[in-house]
Amino acid sequence: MNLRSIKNEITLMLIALSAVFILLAIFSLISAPLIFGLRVIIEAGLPFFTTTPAGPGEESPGGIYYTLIGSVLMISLSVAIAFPIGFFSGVYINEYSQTKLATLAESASHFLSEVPSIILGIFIYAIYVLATKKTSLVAGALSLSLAILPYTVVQVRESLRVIPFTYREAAYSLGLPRWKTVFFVLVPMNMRGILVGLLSAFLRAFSETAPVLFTAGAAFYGFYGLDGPSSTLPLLVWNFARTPYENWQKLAWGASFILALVSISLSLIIRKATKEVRF
Amino acid sequence: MNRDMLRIMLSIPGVLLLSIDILLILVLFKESIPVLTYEGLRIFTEFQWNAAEDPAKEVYGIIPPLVGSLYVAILAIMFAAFFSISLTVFIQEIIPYRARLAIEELINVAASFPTVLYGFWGLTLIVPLVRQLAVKLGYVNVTGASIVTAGLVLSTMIAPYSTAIIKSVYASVPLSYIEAIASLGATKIERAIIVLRMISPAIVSSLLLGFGRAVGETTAVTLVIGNAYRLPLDPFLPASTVTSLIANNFGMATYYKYEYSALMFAALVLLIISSFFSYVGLRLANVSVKIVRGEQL
Repeated sequence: MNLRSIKNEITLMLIALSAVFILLAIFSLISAPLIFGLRVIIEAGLPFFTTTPAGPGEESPGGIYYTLIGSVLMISLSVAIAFPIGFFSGVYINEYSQTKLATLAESASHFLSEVPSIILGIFIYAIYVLATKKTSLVAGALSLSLAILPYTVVQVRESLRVIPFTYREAAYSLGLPRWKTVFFVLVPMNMRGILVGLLSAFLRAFSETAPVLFTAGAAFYGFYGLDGPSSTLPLLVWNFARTPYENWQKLAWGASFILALVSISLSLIIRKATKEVRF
Repeated sequence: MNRDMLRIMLSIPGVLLLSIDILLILVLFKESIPVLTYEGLRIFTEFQWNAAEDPAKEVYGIIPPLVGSLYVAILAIMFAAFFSISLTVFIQEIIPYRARLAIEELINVAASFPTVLYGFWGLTLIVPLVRQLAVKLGYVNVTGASIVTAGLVLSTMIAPYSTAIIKSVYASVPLSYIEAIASLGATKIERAIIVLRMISPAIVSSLLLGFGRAVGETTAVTLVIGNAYRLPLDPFLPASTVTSLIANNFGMATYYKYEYSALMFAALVLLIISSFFSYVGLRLANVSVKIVRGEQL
């Protein structure tokens, strides 16, 4: 054992220690909602999914019925708004990457992805909520769609970019026009990549809180239509986790369980699907 | 003819993207005007945030929360740098291949985990821990919600993300270099240090991108920072960031004459800062790609 190898061993040990430390932190972060949340849901049983939040300080946590409905509707609506725009922008940026407008659009998409998501929320507040004079499911969906739009653009663009040029040449040599080449040859070739983009859009819309803070309203006790206030699961966690009431904290843990479960499964699926793409 | 049609049709969503950005910036500017004409440069010198029913008594200063944002973000990327570099070396040099795959899955899940859950976890686990630490350090009456708590929670949020970037660059250093280093008889740690130096632009760039995220993060920070409007100097005391200020005050802001506008201005300043860091980070990322390809060596 010379000095160098001793130094080597000690440094490696310190590195391993700090790596294990952060891994434990991440592990506890991911398992906390699963463990605490599952306990709450088992205790509360089926009513957790079919009732509204209980009053503060009551015995039972109540349920997340309207928040589930609001989440599903708002997320679907936001993906329905953002995905088509993102898809066609992605195609455009990939197809015409040499043109000035496409480069600008790409930077615009990139800029949008770097905007803090709370600013997207207050932007929609300024242009939509103030104009309609109320928070609504549609306003929430709009701000969520801004949050997911740039990710869809990148994902679609990348899915098309990785397809080798020879396939495009083959399509051209058969006399296909460019639009047919893109939509009937290239897009179907990497359908998986594009579906991954769709899935990531859902995942992102599902887990964002800040954009909907001031746009979606906080309606946990009823459903008021598309132009009425609504809520999402992260919003429910945000609202009830901050309260001092034990049953409301439990409610937040229960909702966290569903958030965590969906987020974990979607990101595992997305990663697996991305790995398998080969040309 | 067809091709031109395609180009024209497809440029519509592209133009839409551009207009969203322009509209976003214009709206932030326009909504900031009332408070700027009312307070002028005082918005940078006042150290209070006072929404009053009487408009003449309204005072808004954005420096304390702005300092809070930067403070938290700098702490967060310092912790994150430490954690993600050790994690990279740990994954690449120390553990066997199978364990590596499991850890990569864990990091991947954490990278897209909902931020509100980071906040809730921080509130339940990190806040009490920091409180114990603060009490040991001689603080009395602290809740544990503080700058350093927010920094820790944020670093846990950034670390998976920056580890993923640093690790992929680390793994892509050409084998011939690794062989050259090994042939000189370097120990594992000496090799790691050489490789880390080689990819240092990638490390800096991932941290700058992380900085942009940290400055803009809202929910997790607001849950653990304690939300006290003050110029943050002591890391163990509660403070606020621009995002937590917005999260806490925006809901009622339109009841006052200028608060809404003041928050919009704070958001604009935040956007400028975070875009700047992300831009520099991205430029550096391009440099690091070149380095790995061996173009600059």
